[in-house]
Amino acid sequence: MADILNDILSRTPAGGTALLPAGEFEGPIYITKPLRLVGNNTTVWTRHGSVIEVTCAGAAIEGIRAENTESDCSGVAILARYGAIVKDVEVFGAVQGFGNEDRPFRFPRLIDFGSFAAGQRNSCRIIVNMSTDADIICNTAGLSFSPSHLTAGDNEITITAEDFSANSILYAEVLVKTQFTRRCYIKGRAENGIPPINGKLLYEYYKDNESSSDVISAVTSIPIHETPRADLRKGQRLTLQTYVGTSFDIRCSHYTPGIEIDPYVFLLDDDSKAFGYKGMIFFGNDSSENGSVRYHANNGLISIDLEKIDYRVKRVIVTYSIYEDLTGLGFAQVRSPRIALEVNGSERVTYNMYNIGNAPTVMALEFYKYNEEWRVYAAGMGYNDGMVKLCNRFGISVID
Amino acid sequence: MMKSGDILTATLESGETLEYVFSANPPRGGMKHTFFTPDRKYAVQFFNNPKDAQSMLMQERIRAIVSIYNPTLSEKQGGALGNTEKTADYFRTRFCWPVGVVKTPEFGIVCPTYPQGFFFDENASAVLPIKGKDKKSTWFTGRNRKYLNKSELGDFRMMLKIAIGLSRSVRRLHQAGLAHSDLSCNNVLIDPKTGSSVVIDIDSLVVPNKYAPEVCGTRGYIAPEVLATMERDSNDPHRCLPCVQTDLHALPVLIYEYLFLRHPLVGPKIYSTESAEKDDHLAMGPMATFIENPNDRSNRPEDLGVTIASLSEGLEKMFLQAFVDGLHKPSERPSAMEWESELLRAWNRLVPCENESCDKRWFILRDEKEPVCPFCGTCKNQQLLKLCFKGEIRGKNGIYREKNEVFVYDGMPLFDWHIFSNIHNDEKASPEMRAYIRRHKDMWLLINNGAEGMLSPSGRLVPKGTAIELKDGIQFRISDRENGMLVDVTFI
Repeated sequence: MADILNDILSRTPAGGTALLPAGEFEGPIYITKPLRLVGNNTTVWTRHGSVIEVTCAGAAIEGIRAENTESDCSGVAILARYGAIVKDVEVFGAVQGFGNEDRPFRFPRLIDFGSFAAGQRNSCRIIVNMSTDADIICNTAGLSFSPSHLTAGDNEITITAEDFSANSILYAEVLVKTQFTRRCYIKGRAENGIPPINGKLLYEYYKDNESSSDVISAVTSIPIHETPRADLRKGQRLTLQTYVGTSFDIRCSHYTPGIEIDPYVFLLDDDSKAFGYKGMIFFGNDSSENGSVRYHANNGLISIDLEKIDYRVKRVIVTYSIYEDLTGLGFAQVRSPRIALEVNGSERVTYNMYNIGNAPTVMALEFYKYNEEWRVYAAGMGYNDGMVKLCNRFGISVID
Repeated sequence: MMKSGDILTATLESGETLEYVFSANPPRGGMKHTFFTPDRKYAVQFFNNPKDAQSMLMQERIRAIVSIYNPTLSEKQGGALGNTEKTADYFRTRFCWPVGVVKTPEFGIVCPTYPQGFFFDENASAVLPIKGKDKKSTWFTGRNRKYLNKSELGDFRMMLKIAIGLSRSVRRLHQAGLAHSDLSCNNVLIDPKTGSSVVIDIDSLVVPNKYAPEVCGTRGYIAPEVLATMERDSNDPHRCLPCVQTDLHALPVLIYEYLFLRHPLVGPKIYSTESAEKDDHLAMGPMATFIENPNDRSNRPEDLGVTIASLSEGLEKMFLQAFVDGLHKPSERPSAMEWESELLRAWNRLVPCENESCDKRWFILRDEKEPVCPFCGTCKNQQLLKLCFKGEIRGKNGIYREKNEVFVYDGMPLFDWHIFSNIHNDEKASPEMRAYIRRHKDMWLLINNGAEGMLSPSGRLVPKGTAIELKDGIQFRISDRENGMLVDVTFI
């Protein structure tokens, strides 16, 4: 996963801007040249060790969330040997290379108010230690912090919960802003019939044992009984192991009577050319050389066994083409073309081919290996030039 | 002279041509006879009576059903208003909706054939040659059930799933202003192996105030008021015709049959000694009595077995509303949407029976203090785990209120409707599994399979491929994104 982000970084020139996609990605990522790294709802995480490492001067980081998931809060989230400019960067964990802020940040991640009196004023206290000045921001009505501006060193903060209606369940986000943002939570429940809390001390940083993370890793060996399903959208990629393994059938269906659609499967080598003389499987050649890909004429299914694919085959492209030898019909006239990957007749992965234009031929799916894992890419690319030209492109000569 | 096996060509009103195989003895129903395309993917139906085929009103109705009232076609493709491609795809597997209108050789309809799972295969029965027969629900809810192999019968969970699917399909019809008018065991095929259902015979749909019903219904499913007024003149204002409210009689009859394998109105009571027909007319019509009516036990079988009291409280109330309050007062009947909601709430209370020999394998946990399977009497000894989902109150950051609760079982998948308070378990939701729960080495683990922003009880990020342990009393945000819910865990 870090490869995707590190790829983007490596392709960004010095002085440029690396735009990261939305989502959660396992790091670490490395900034080795002066550039601007901009996230878009991007979270980068590692189990241990730094999440973002900056090994050059002149870097800027913006719009990213960085977290060690299993270290305590002293684990380094961002390590910048020469510092960096940061904007809208959220961290969980320590930072290095940012002056005073390098010292530990001693603020609780979760403050438990417990049960408190509904309709009344309740207050608790926490004693925190700040490495630098900070502001507390909380948007929950009825919840306030005094002081809301903290200074470097020890701070005693009074948190007030006032006029919550009975049975309100509180789970509020609190942002502590230095040049970074750190997120904390306050939880509790307002109840009738109990006395208000008055100044109870909930947290003292010097007594904080910094207990280890409650996130459990290495659980991918625990499969689910129930078969997961995935619905692909155009452009999406999926690792196949969880859903279909390496042996499955491919079915194309649609709801347009009178239109026939035929599958064509290309086994492509490193040069994107069909591999071997049986590198195209279709109704005229119903099996690859070793049977790793087969076409079933009785039901139009394609069977694929990825374990049997020759190692020299780098990509498997599944294409569908409308059979029409008169004026061209295109996929825009096909009602709801849909591909399903099935195991024992049960759909595990589906791809509804929306928005593929009016081409008569569609390169629907691409199977490829990445980091030793087979993946599928929902290409959904219309090919206007027809099957003959497509075959030529893949190095197959077609005799009329 | 045509003979069986000849390939003929029909031209559709859309301009396409379609080949079909002529048969000298095609399957023939009350209104239409059916041929099939050579690949048997489509059925081409023509009217038995040429007058029906030539009726302008019939033609107009069929065209409307195929286009503007069609929930299996997106709005962009000429289907019903508001239909997205996603919801169209969803309902395409739940209805056998006509896909085309035949122009020549004569007016007709093209429908997709039923999906393969709704025909019995060669392994369905060791004693009856039923391979290729439609999976009508009477096979599973009637006397013939004993002739089916166990693998065909599904379990209680699958039958509940079928009930949810059917109520969703009927809800969709009613939302579009349509009524099926002939919901029955013949027009809803079910597959208990997978928990799926498909509604067929769509071309008899009623468009209220526009296209009148063509049929009255099927015995056992016709609403009592329709049966009671059937003999009246068609112009008689007191005559009750099939409509949305009569669908709302047939729907709970089917649901009751799926869950209890018996008809809700068929009991020991004798209504008339004049004739069997008169007795039947009264039993299903003006004097119909629910076999579990708490106020009238005259039609209650002695060996009732499992009753509506073993379902969730909400479902019990729904059946009483349908078959006591609403049996003779159509306006009191619960809507399809209410059925769908209540069935989904019951789904969340399903727990597995610990008796491996129990045929039903699952039951709805009504009383947490007495977790006993109503089908086999086995008491549940294993620990029960309950998740309470709370959604943020709109306009009140950080304040949550309870939304629903779910009983957990080993291997349970979680979807978007378990994560976001604004996403419901319906046709719009993604079926992608976002997380799942497993029992592992005496721990209950919630494993993230792709939900973003999942937080642990201590507020740490729980990325994909990592997990948290579910312990009694913990609380966590299942997603910190907008509308992400708060979850409380309780061990019972």
